[in-house]
Amino acid sequence: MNSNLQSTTYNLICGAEIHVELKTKSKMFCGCKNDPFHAPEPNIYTCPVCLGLPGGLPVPNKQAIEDTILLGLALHCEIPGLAHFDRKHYFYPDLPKGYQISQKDEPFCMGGYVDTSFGRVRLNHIHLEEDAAKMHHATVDGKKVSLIDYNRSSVALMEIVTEPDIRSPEQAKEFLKNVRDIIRSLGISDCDMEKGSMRLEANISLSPDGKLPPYKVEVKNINSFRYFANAMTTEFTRHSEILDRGETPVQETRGYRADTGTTVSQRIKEDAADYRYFPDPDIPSIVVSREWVAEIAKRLPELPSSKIDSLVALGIVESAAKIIVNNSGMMDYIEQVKTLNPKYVQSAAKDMVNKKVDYLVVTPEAYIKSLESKSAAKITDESVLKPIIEKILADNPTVVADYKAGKQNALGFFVGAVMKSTAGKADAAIAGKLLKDLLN
Amino acid sequence: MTDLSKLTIEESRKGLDAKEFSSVELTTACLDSIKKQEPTLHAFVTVLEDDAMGSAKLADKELAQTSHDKPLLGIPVSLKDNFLTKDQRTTASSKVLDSYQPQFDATVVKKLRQSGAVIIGKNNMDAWAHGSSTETSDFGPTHNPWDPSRLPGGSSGGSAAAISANEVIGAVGSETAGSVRQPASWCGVIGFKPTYGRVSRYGVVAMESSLDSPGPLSKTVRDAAIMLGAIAGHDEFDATTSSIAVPNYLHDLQSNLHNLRIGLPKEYFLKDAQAGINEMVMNSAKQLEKLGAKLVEVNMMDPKYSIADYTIIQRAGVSSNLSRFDGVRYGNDRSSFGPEAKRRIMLGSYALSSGYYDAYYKRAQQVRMLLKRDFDRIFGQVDLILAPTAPSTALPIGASLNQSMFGELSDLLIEGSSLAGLTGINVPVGLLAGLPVGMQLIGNHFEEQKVLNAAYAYEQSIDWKEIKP
Amino acid sequence: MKNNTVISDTDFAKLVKMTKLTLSEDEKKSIHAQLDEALHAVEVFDELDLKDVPPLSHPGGLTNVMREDIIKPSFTQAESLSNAPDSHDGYFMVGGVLEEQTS
Repeated sequence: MNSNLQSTTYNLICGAEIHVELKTKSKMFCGCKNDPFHAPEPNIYTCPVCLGLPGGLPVPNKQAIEDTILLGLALHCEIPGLAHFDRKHYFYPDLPKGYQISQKDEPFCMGGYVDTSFGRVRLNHIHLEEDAAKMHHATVDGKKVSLIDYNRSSVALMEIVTEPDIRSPEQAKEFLKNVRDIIRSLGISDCDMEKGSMRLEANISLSPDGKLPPYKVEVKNINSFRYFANAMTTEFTRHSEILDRGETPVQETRGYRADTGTTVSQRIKEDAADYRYFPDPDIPSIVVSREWVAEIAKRLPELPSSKIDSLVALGIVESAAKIIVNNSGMMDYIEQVKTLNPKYVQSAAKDMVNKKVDYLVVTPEAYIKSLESKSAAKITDESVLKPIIEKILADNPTVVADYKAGKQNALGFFVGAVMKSTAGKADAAIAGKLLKDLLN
Repeated sequence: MTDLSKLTIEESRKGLDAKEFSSVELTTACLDSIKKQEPTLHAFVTVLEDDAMGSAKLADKELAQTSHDKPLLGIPVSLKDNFLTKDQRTTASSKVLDSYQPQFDATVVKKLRQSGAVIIGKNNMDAWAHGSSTETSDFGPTHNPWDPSRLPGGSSGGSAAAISANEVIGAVGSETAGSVRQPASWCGVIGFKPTYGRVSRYGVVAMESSLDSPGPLSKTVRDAAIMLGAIAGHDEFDATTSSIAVPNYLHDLQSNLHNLRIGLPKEYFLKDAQAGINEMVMNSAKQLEKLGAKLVEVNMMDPKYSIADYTIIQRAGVSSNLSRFDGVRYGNDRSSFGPEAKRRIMLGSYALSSGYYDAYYKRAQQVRMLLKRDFDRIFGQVDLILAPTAPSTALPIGASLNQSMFGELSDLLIEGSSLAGLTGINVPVGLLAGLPVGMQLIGNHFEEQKVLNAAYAYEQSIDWKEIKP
Repeated sequence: MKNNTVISDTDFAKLVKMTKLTLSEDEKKSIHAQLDEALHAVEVFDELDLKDVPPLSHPGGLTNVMREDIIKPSFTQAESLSNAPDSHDGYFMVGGVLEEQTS
């Protein structure tokens, strides 16, 4: 049946909330070790503060504050001169104090943006808060229970909130990758979604007229960038159908289902949660002086995008460059090869990325030596190569015809054939040059 | 042999160091006093007899060595039951924490142990410190040693009664607004509230986090100076403590008043105070004048503003600080809260709730700024403020029940200075119809020495110490 | 003294839920009345000029109190669980939680 349901063109409006666990040594408000993912046992990194015992008091981690400001600087945020922490109240067994220490009115970073090839995604703000404990469901003695591990309670958590500027799933993926790359380059978090050190939430709505819609749907349980993009796609379809019927999608929280690639409604709260925010009296305000910000700014490294550019300028293929910039071991290797003999930089990059050389084992000097001995065995004598090439061209008239008709890829076929017939010993560059001369 | 439980901290220190008696003997005397009087007074939630005797024996071993530098070595003290004591039951006088055995010591407790104190027990209080009577304790009220049909005041009522009745040599309570000074007034003892941030709150069950101030209750001003010196100081676990060095309060104690200017606010000499109180306190002021002080009349914001302000701020803080009691990690669940706690949690939550935050909590914090500025102005004119501590002497048991504003009205002469974070002391001035009357001296931030000095000068000039229940 | 209610019945019901307290019907009535009384007392705020008056959240006047990122000793697992009403295999245990958390 040919449906002639013509849906109005809708604009996809999406914002993201990204939670990032900082990799400080200790927790946000106490000296307990920050290592929930690798802890050998539950509840071994707790104290009166993060366990919410009576009389426990929070003292903020300076490193976490500086890491947050550092990210704000990297993402072009404004760093206000005064910040403070607020208490956010709700009851849940994974929240030991019955409130989370977070920031509402005076966060460390305001505004900001991240550019993508699809356009700029503005940030609303970045704030610092504490993580909740980890809870999982189980059956014990036949009863359904929840088991709680407070190792993660009060770990430092940054929250990055964007404006609803994300307009396509592709943009979302690029945006999220950029954010993750920048955070990793700053060395403040591993941003490992499997370990839970990076968590995503989407706010999605559709607009028929470009204006901000009167509803938004929050989507949780998104465990990868791909799922984020999928969530946008599936919600686009779901909202379109509802809007086409003249209705408005319900403002609610939904959970993403990886198995079906769709979202399902989680309980709709009749009343929006009232968090009863107020400034935490236990924590004096933080005056963020311009001198302090300048000190923190000294930690800003060269950002991934400009690092990638400099590698490409050395002749390295962009896809390889993108992998190398995220790996400081590989970056060092390239630097050393460049110092020893720049002409081997490209092969070093290719071989590392293709795992043909173990850069952790083979030193740059040894690597270059092996290449030089290989090239010493290489056939560079054109008088030797020419007859081999002539025979290959004679044996493959159709491919020659393809090349002459404009198929540049055919050259690759011929180079491959030369390499095969010389058991890999031919100098590929020289073979290529000869081929071109003979073909033209 | 004199009844050792009647000694002051200073007398105990001298006697122990001179080997006139042992810590075991001193502790036993206090335990005997406790056993004898507790059926009437109920000043304790938990008596730590075994632990105390153990500590006393260790203290005696240390005392046998040539010298020590611990001001409280071997001396029995009690703590209000909102100070967490490791492995020793701590309840805040609430059924919610009926069998709670803390995993750590409060900083104040750590310091007391380091000073050699023998911790003899945990005192009864208004549950969660919600009150000015000790009547809202989930375990029954404490009775006033001067008249057991009457209340001791609160919320540190158990600590005040224990000092007054010579059940202990020293005690530590806590004040949010009045909870040390007012029971001290009703029980006729010294009650000292340090500046907010002078003493660590780490390990004290929180009531209102920007007001709570642990402070000593004692038999003399010198004793208060000794206790304060032992517990004051910066704490890395409490971000609101001050880094200002702790003076040697005892060493610097002096009674020459050097033309000290003492402000008398007429707003604190209430028209409807119990008859006799204003006159007695005014006579005490004149006594200080004879000793060299200059009395100055000052004006102050009407106490009705501090009553309303304190009501909102304290209850908002309470509603937040009691959120952690959910029965998951310790204690009983929230159905164990008493009626007073429920009332305060609900009002506090309302004042913070969306739609009402601006009208109530935000405005309350602005009014608080006005109150602080008012005190700043007054302290530009005077060194100390003097007033009655409470508008009445001890009220009968039952007086506080179902009075939703009982606490706030009892403490109306104290709330303003507490909201501003100031320091103050209650000094007994005499008896009115057989019940103690107290005057308070209020000092500016970190002027504890000035307050102690004036109180000391006054105390030395009268015979009140001879009056006992 | 006015005796009209300050807190509406709807708001009062929301409060009971929000604070996770158990109240009998009698308690609800008396507490509602007592809350109204307390809130009437607060009407004196209307008499004060609060324009441009900043709120006083921290009476101590301190700022920038922070700790260095150093690991300090934690409780042992046994200490952590020592007062738990229910525990299992090193975890705190509560009855199956069905409600979705708010955040």
